[in-house]
Amino acid sequence: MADKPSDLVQGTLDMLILKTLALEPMHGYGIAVRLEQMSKGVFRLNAGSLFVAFQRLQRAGLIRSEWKATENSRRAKYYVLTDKGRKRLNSETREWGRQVAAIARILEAS
Amino acid sequence: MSLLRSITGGLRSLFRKEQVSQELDEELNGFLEMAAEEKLKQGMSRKDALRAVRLEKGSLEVTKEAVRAAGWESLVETCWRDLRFAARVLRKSPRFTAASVLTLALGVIGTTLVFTAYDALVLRTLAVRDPKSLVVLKRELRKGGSSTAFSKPEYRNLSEHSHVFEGAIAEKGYDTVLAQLPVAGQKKLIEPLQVIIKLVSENYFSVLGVNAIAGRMFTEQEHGGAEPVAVLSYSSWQRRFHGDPAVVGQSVLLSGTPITIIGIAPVDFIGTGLPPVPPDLWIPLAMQTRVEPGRDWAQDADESRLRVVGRLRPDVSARQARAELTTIAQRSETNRGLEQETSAIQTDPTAYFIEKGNPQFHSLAALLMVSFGMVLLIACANLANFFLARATARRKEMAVRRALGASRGRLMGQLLTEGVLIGLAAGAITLIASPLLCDFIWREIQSRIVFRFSDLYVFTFRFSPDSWVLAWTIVVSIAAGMLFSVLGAAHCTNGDSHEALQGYVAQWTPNRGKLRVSARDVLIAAQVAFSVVLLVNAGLVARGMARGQRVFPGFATGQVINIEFADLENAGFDRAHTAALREQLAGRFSALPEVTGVAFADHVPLLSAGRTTVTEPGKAKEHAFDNQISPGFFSLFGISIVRGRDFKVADAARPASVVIITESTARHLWPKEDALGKIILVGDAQTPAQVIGVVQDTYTVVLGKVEPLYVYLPAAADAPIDDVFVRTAGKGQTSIGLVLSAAAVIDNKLASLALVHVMDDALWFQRLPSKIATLFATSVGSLGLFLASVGIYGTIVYAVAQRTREIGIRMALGAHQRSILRLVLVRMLRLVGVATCIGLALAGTLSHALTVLPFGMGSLLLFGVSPWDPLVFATVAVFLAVIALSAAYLPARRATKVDPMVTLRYE
Repeated sequence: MADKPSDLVQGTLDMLILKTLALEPMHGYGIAVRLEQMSKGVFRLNAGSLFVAFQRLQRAGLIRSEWKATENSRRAKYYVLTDKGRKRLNSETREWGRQVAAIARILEAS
Repeated sequence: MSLLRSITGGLRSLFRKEQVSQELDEELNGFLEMAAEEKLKQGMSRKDALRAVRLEKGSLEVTKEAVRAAGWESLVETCWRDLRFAARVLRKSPRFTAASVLTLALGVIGTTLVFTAYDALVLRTLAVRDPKSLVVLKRELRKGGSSTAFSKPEYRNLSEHSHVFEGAIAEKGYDTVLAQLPVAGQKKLIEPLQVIIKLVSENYFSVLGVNAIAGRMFTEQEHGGAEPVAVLSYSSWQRRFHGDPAVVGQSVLLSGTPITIIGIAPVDFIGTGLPPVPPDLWIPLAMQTRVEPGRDWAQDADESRLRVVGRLRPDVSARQARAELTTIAQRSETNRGLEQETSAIQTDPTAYFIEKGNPQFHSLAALLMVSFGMVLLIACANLANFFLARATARRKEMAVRRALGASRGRLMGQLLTEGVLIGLAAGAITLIASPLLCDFIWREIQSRIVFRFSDLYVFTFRFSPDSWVLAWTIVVSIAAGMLFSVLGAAHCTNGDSHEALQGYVAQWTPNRGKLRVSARDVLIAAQVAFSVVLLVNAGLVARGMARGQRVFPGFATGQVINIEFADLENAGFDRAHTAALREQLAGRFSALPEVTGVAFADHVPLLSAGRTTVTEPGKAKEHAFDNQISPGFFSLFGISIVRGRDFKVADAARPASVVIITESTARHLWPKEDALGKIILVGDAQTPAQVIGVVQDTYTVVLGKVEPLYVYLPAAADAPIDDVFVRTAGKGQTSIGLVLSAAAVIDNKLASLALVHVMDDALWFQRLPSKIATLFATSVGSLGLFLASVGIYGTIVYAVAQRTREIGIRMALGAHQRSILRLVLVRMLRLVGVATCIGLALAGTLSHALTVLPFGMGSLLLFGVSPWDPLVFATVAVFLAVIALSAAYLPARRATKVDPMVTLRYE
């Protein structure tokens, strides 16, 4: 990948947010930072797409939210993975693996 | 589950907007702060940090907007905003709004009325169990024609030997009988009055699946007539007994026979016959001899008086049924040693009012639908023009809004919403107005037509739009509003917004000699052409009808009273007493000082006519009309005898050996010879009769039409008394009471049996169809006239007003007022002229089609007015031209009066 932060593959943002929340409940900024850290700066997230994704996931019942204090004693909205979200994450991870492997096979074949 | 969450989430943000927005604000602010803190740690100033975060993560406001727009609730919000905006815009141009809404509503109301009438007349089914499986039997005769009348033995034969019916019922036509009804709470019965009854087979109610709302219905066990019973109709229960439930179990005296009312039929059950008139009482067929004493026709196989209705078994097709029934009917004829008369037995569907196969009704219905469809088309053309004109005027506004960033889709959406609002308003007006209108029309019809002759027959008929029709009108209104707003929207949002912004609107440039046709021109032309077609045809029918109202039958009507005696035989005046009764009636009536003449006849002129055949010896048989009359008939009606003499009492031999014919008949049979003294053979029996007189032609069967063959035969002295005519010196109406009391002197019963009216009523009855058609033609015509003038005027005014600026520029450049006016008017005249010509050609085609409508309906509608009547055609053409030219002239003149500087400054 190039040095420039790149856009996410279409439709993967939801999965990545779920993955981030699988470790522990987290507020919006935390999720953004975690995603950037874990991708070693490859993904830079726009606040707009991030918060739209939160609303979408919440409406789909995959995550829920609660207001809590941060370690810096600031009030923030924490997002928590629901059971349904956890199941979805598992299935999507499997599916992703299958697809990546398939794509890799196609790319290597040539 | 997640759908539910999505809905509740959406609703939460819709209705608790403040709270949700606050929460989002807080969350996003926190996000910003945390990101900034990170930067601060890296040593940035707070201001720089915030700036950097905004750059990196995007602006806070944009994020908020994105989150808000992501949910479905944002769509609802947009629509709501559009609706409010559209309402505001429409309020600001009230003239456009009112014109569009009214136009659309008028168009839709017209079609709603026609649909409602069609629904009520044709689509409605009988209020019985599974009406679709019921069929009426019809016998087709070898000698031509058909009949739905069967004798009781035939009915029994058909229902017992066939395997196609679950059950078959028989019913006789209406009978008028004298009845004495019980009075509520008292033992005595009221004075005898006329009621109508229907004799039906005992299984009538069980086969139809109709249950009593009080008491019980009679059943097959009621046979033999040992227990005289009757079922009361709902309308009679209400009318005669004021809905008193105690009437069940009480006894009425019918032709002197006591009969017990055992049950009351449901309100919507009107029987199985046409028209939808429930009788007062349904009585088992086995009771026939008791209700009609002295007449035992039920066992006679030659007395065909019953209509047979069968319920087909579900596994039997109509074709199978026809085949089997035909075989049975033909076999029975053969068994009885008769010549085979029946060629087939048909099964027709039952109907509430009008049989679906009735072609005469269908051509009328088609005519109505076409005319009101045309009104709707004109309304739609108006609407399209209104929207288009408005769209042109709003191009600049749309261009500004697009330049400010509104997408074309959003603008179209907004314009569409305006269309929907207009459609909704029009739909609402239709929804309120059409039931009221239907109610008004039905009440008018009832008071004018139904009650004119007799209050015995109560039409049960619901003329009000049902929920399906109403839902349909709303859908049509909204669809029309949407369609035409989209048309306008496409027009005003396309093209280069830059151009429109600069104030440059593409305009017509008059290429001399060459007509540039725009979409607007086509619309104006279509509008004019449709209006011409509608107005010409409405005008033709109205003119024909006006002529029909002025036709007189050629004999006296105002001074002649017609007395019809119902059911004389039941009242005790049987065949043996008829001759005596005739003499008594004639004597009593002539003794009255007001009376100048008395006559008897078989048929009432203009109301009925007998059918017979006439054969000139050695020639082919021809169909003719006849009437059997007493001496004095001609002088009573003022019909002059051209040749020969009137009947004498001595002529009334049986069979008649003399005949009087009309002038047309004489001309038809013996064009070159004197008819007097000639012999013709009358009727199927081919009785020879000598022509003893020739009388003047009159309109006796249909008003406005002279029958080519009409013969008068002498009535036998002991023939049943059908109709008595009394000529009075003054107006007939004033002497009715005197005549009735004279009849009562002979026998008290006679007065109550008599149905009396002045012959003017017969004339009125003949003129009724043309009256209704006039009403219809004028209502369609005036509706079309109103819509056409509003539409054409509005559109042209608008189109010309659009050119105000251009006219101003021309004036500034030195053009003369007169040449500009000519330019505008000539162009408009050319357009309207072409459209009118097309319209006139179409109108002529349609009116020509009117004349070839089946069953002489066309000649009835036009009444001898030519389908190319120049007066109507010219009036319509001139009228539309005047509207179009004045619509073009006024704004053009106003435009030339405007100071050129004003228009130029506007530029």
